[in-house]
Amino acid sequence: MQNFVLKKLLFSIALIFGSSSSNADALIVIVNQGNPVASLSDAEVKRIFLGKMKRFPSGAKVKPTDYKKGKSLRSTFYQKVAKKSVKDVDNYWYRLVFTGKGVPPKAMSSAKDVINYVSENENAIGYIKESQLTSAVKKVLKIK
Amino acid sequence: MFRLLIFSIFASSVAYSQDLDIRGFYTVGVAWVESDNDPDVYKYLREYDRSANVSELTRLGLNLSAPLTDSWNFNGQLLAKQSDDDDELSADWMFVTYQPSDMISLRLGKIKSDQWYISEYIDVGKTYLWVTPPEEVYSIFPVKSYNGASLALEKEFGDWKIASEVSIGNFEDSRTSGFTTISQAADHLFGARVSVSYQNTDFRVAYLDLDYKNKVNGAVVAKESPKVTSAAIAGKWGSFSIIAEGVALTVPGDQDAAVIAAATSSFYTAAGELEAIATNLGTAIANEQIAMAGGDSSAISAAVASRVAAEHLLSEAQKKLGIAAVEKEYAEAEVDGINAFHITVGNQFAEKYTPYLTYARTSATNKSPFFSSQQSMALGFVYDINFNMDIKFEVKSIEVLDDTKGYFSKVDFTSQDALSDSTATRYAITIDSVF
Repeated sequence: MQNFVLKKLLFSIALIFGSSSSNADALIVIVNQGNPVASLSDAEVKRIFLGKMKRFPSGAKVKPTDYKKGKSLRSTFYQKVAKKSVKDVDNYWYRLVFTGKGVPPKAMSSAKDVINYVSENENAIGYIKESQLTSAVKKVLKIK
Repeated sequence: MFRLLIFSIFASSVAYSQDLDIRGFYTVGVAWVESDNDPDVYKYLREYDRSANVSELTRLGLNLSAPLTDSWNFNGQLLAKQSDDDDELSADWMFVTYQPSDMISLRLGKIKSDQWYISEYIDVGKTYLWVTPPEEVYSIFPVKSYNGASLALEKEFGDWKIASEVSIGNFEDSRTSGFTTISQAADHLFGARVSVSYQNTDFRVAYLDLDYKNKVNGAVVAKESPKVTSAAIAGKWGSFSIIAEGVALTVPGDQDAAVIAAATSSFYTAAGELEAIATNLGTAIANEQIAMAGGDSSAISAAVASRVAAEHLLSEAQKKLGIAAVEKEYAEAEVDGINAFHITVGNQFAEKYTPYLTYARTSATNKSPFFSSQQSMALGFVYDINFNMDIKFEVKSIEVLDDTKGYFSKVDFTSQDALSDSTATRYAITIDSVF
């Protein structure tokens, strides 16, 4: 009986810490504080980062920002949002770029750069870990 | 290359503009063909024989994109190919796009043709599996770009996407091989395509018709109004990928009687000139013999000079007759149509290694040495060196069919012979990169 209670307790602790850790690492999509957009759907975010949705619902031209190739955050984001590997996403962009049909999001080196870019550009949009959120930007979606 | 350098300097100087985007791509490679045809007489695709050919696969592109306003963008791409006239650099395409909403885009300028699934990025090797896209399909109708306009509409419904595009325009393209310049020109080009996509699978149909002229050294040798219909399916499911594309090219009506008459007249005129020059050469040789017998050194010199000049004229006349013979043969040939398709499957392992297999076939409905029917099987391997560079190896086994010459042609360009049942193997290695 004692063993059962102990196991249950350890399981609960693991669950709490696991859940807390997962929340801290969750990806969020951010926009400028002055952007009137309050929230975006997963589908809208997918379309924005694949260059298919070029304007916010307000009509303003969207300026997406991404991470440089090789960053693990980028891989997680596209796997969750677009169900695509980064290789497929890169190939997708090469085909658009070299046909004159699109330009990929501006690539940044770090979350700090993304936050700076989004806070300085009213129509910018980016993604960071939830734990990296600052008051300089506004969260519009939490990626599940 | 010089103009590419100028463009690079220009692009660098304006690169400080925040929204200007400059990118590029290149492919370097080598290929050679082993065949049972004499390499001194026949080459594959006019270029390949047993010696290593580097220039045909090597190319460099520079791409520039800049927003003009919220709705207007400028896009251009310069392409340098060593196989073109001495490092010739050309604007692959250069247009402005008007996009008032996510659904609509209008392009004006020199636009890349989108007849095939891969047409618009056919020079960017990093975007597909092959060393070169199967020539059985993609070399059939060489409309690479046109001057005109295109209107595209696109709409998404959940995981489904429907896209369509119509285009109008004209084009002219010239290529010089030795002493022969072949030009292709088209007016009244009309194209339309519809594609339906579901997740990672695309299905696409396209149609193109135009008034087409083929010129050899400026003379019109063929005038036709071909219609090209193509269909493609492409998909990627997990690590497995497939692409298949088929095309039917039809040329309604007969060849132009006036064009045939003009080519026939040119042929007989050239033959008459050759005969007259041959007679003059005979006279020059006889005069030279008489001068030799006379022993007068100045007369001998004059007679030798006269004979050498006559021999040179004879050589030129023979070349001219050869071209005229090709013009006549081409003008008289009936092009009823071409059917072609390929299917390619590939599977990626460990995110870096992708072996692939391609079967391709082209069949000309006209079974004559002037046309191309052949089938091939290509086995290739792609290794991704990193996210923007790969190396590819491909071995392609080719068989000529139907009493045609397949994609072989005579080096001297004077006549065509059937090469049915001929076989060849092409070996190729390329490195592709985007930057």
